[in-house]
Amino acid sequence: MSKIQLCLTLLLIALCPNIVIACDSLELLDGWVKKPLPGTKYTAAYFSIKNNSHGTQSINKFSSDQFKKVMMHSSSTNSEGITKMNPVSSLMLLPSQILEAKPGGIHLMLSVKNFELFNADQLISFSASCGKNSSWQFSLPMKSP
Amino acid sequence: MILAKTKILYIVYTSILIIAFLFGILISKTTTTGLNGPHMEGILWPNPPMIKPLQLNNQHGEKFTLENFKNTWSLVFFGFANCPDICPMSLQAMTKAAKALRAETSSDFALQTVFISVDPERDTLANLTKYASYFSKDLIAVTGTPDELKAAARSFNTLFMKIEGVGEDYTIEHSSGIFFIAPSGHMASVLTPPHNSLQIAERFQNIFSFYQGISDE
Ligand SMILES: [Cu+2]
Repeated sequence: MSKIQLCLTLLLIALCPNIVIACDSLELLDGWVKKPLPGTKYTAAYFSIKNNSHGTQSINKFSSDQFKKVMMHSSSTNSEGITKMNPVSSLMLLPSQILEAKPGGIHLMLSVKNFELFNADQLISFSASCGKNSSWQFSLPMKSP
Repeated sequence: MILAKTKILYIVYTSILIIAFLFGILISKTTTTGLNGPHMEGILWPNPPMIKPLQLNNQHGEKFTLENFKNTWSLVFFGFANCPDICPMSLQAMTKAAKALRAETSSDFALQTVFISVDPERDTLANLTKYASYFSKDLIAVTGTPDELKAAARSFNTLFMKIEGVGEDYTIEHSSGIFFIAPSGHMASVLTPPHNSLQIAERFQNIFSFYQGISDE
């Protein structure tokens, strides 16, 4: 990219602060939050989300007031049987794609604020952000594993 | 004359029967024995590795060593309590399978389930007690110093590695297989995830009858 092209791009971005990718076309099909187990500080949430739009959507961050921290992770097991958990920076959904976060794969890793606060069947509210001004709210039931 | 003919027929008939019988034995032996001795899906055979000496503590603060693997079958899983994704599923499947196996009327074996925590920093004995009893009162949770745990992992031909994160948000890469240990201390099989209780119970039953067959020979 030439210097002129770069300057023009930066100018365009500065002039149009509202260019955001909306995540209002995401649909929650299913999901649950694992009730934190005794003696632990972390738990996990799983879901299946559909992109109902004609464009690609990407989620950069999840948050929840009921947890200290929400991290996007992916677990994988190599041929030697060693399981790793890696952070994921964003989740991309192609048009009409269903993204499944399930045990042993993509999951939300939740850092527990207060263990006593939770009981089974409680609803946990999440916010997913797809850009500067675009977020999507949804909730998942808490279940015992 | 007729008598001699009948005698010959009798001899031929008996010979055919004997040959067929011996041939049958030979076929059954070659199909189950093969080149390297008996073979069965998922069973480490021949030369199953022997687990090596180890020194850990259980959730009640008692020593847990190689001796604790003797005279009982064991299902062993390495992990840590703050591994919320894979570990709870495997521990649940493992304890459920053990419960079902022990409840079988024909079961004439001892079977223990062992969870080896590779996170002594966060998995204190008090935390391990709470965590293990969630799955089963029979689940033995053990841990040790980092060096003791490294030796224990080596004993099972595996390893684990702490991956630093921000503050307490570290994670540990670890083996997520279920190890089947025979009362002789031999590692009979390793089952990779994802685990479910039926598959674990089935693998155990296969191994158990296989080892019984060997000791009967
Ligand atoms: Cu995780």
